[in-house]
Amino acid sequence: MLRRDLSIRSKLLVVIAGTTVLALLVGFGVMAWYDVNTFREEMISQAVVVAQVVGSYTVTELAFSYSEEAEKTLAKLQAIPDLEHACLYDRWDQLFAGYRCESAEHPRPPFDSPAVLEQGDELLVVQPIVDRDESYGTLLLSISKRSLRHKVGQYLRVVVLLVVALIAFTTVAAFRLQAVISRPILALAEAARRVSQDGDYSTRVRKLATDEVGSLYDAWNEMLAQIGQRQLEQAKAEAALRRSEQRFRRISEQSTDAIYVMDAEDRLVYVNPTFEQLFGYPATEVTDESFESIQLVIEENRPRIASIRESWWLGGKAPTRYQFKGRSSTGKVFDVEANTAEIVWDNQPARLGMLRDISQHKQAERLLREQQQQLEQHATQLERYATELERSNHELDQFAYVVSHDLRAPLRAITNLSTWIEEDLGGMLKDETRRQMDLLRSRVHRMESLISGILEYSRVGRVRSTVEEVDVSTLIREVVGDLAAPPGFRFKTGADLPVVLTEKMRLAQVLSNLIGNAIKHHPRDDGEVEIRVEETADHYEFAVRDDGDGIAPEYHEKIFVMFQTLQPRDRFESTGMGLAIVKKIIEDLQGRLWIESEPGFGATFRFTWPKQVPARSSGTVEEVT
Amino acid sequence: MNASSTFVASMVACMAGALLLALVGTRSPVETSDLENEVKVEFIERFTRFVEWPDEKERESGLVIGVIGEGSLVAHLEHGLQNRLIDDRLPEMRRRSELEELERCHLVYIAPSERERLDEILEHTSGRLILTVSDAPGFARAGVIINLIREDEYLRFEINRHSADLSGLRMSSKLMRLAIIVSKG
Repeated sequence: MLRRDLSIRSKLLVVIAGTTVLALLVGFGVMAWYDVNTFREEMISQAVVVAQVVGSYTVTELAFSYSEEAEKTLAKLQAIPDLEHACLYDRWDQLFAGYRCESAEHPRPPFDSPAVLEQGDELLVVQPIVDRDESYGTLLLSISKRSLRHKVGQYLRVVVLLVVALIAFTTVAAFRLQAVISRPILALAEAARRVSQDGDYSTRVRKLATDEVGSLYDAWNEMLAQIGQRQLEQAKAEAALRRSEQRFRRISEQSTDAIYVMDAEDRLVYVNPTFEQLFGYPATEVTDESFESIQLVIEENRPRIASIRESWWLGGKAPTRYQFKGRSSTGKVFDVEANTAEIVWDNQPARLGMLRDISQHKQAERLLREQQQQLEQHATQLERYATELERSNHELDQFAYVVSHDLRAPLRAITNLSTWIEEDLGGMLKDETRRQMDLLRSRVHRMESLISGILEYSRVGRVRSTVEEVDVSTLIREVVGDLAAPPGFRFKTGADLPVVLTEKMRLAQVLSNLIGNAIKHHPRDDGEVEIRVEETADHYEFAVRDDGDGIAPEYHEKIFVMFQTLQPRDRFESTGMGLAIVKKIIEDLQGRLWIESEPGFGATFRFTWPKQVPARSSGTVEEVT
Repeated sequence: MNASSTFVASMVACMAGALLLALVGTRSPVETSDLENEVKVEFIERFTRFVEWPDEKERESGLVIGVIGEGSLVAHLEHGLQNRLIDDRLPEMRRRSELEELERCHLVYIAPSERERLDEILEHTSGRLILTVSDAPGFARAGVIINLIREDEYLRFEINRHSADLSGLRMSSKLMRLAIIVSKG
């Protein structure tokens, strides 16, 4: 009915004005029809009343045939303005009396009951005159409708004027009132147009009322706010995405690994520069291609790689790390280790892969394996040597022992025999001979000492005594007591000497040798020897210091060699075995022995003594002596 | 008009009356005594239509009409009313000589001959529900309720309002309007 493209303002105007005009027309139409009808009915009912009154007045006139009185009564009807004429008929339908009534013109109408007829301009009222069921005649009134028409005409003019005025007023009022509804809607429409044009979601419409349109405004504002918020969040998210993407590209471009992204159809959607270098293809050539289509994987590995990929997309268990042989554009084949992960790329599930060329690594591995094998061979050989060496050492010790043990008997025989020869010869011996005999015995004695030394030396590696708690200060006192030092000698020890869990005899042997050397080689009889012990985590460090002549640095190594003496044997009765034995004992316990000395400033022998007794590989050998 | 016979009788009477009234209505002078009497009978019948007896409802039989005295109208009256339904009932016509009996009547016609003893008759009727009718000049003034008189060629009737009021009968205003009202002289 209403054209759809009309503005809401015009629609409202048409609706309001149209409805009102329709209501007015219908209302006034019904009213006018009703009023006109009422006018007519009033007129008729008045006429009927007049007829009834006149009828009742003329009952007795008719009953007693008083026609003159009837005429007089009817004449009074002239007061009724619209009355045209009145005729009174008797029971026999003869004109009995009349007012402006011509019998010929107005015959009695054929009605026996009250009736109202409209004949042209006339309203005819037929009223039978009845009293107490007795019929006396009929009254006919003819009333002109001129005045009724006039009245109706006037009335309708007023109504039409009123309707026109009301329509005019309504239209004006509608034009004004429609603004109440249309203005906020038009304002909203304008705001919507502005927003869609400028894309500015920060604008808000100002609410004018709290009705449904007001709610619409609120909803609109709320919607704008939400859109704005969403835009902001989207912008943030996009920025974050861009940053993340930049980071990814930065990392991926700097990476020494070849990086690629593969979509669900196994097509490459991204590769980094390292990838390009590794396979020798520019990114533009591999994009949208698969590993197979450009043969990045050698033929033999393809079924395995394909099954791995299939498992990923089917969600099954599949390795994310695997190796294969890659092929570059030049046909070079190299080992690749792949490390893959599931990611989302352009809102699609995708696979990120990192490839590393492990050819060199593999080669290095091979080399390493080879070297390891060689090393193992060497070690085996060394072990064999060591076993041999140990065996030969052992044999040597055995040999030294046996030799020295067996050499003793003839020496003792020589000593005894020389004594016996001297006793037998008695006074026959020249002094010269006697002195030579003494020298002989003394050389034999030295020889015996040497043999004892060798024996002792060889025993170091073979014999083991029981381990016990050894109080070092007591031990030093015992050792010093046995050495029979010159009376002027002084001995000093540290304050807190420890109790050591070790073989007492060995420690005593070491200390006795070192302290004995200090006394023996001291130039004076009032020398001083100081013994100190320092404790560390796994060993004790002993220091034996004297204030003798000291030893020049060039002899520091030499003194520990067997049979080495720094002075002629004649001056000091020494076998040259002492320090060698000491060294062997200490080294046998995996300790260390060294000397700190300057000529003229005394000497300090230092050695370490383990807290734990080291296990020894070779078994003990019972001393034969 | 419940029974067809009474209806026919009534129609005959009507026809007769109509003729007479037509003559009267056309202003024909009442020449003959018979015609005048016929009209008088019609008038008397008409009076019963415009007068109400308050005890009418309780009445079981028809209207009791008493006639007293002698005159030309008496025969017409008896003949004219005997078979006419008055108030849907046939009247009971009685010629009376005993005045006491009049008290039982509803309508009493007093003939002109009774002029001498009119007061005596009226003593019995006045104050009772009895419509007295006569056709002698001066009777109304004497106390009869309705008295028919001739005025030129027309038949007219007088009503003594005092007597009517005294009787307790309800006289129709329509009747009163046409009547010549007289008062007791």
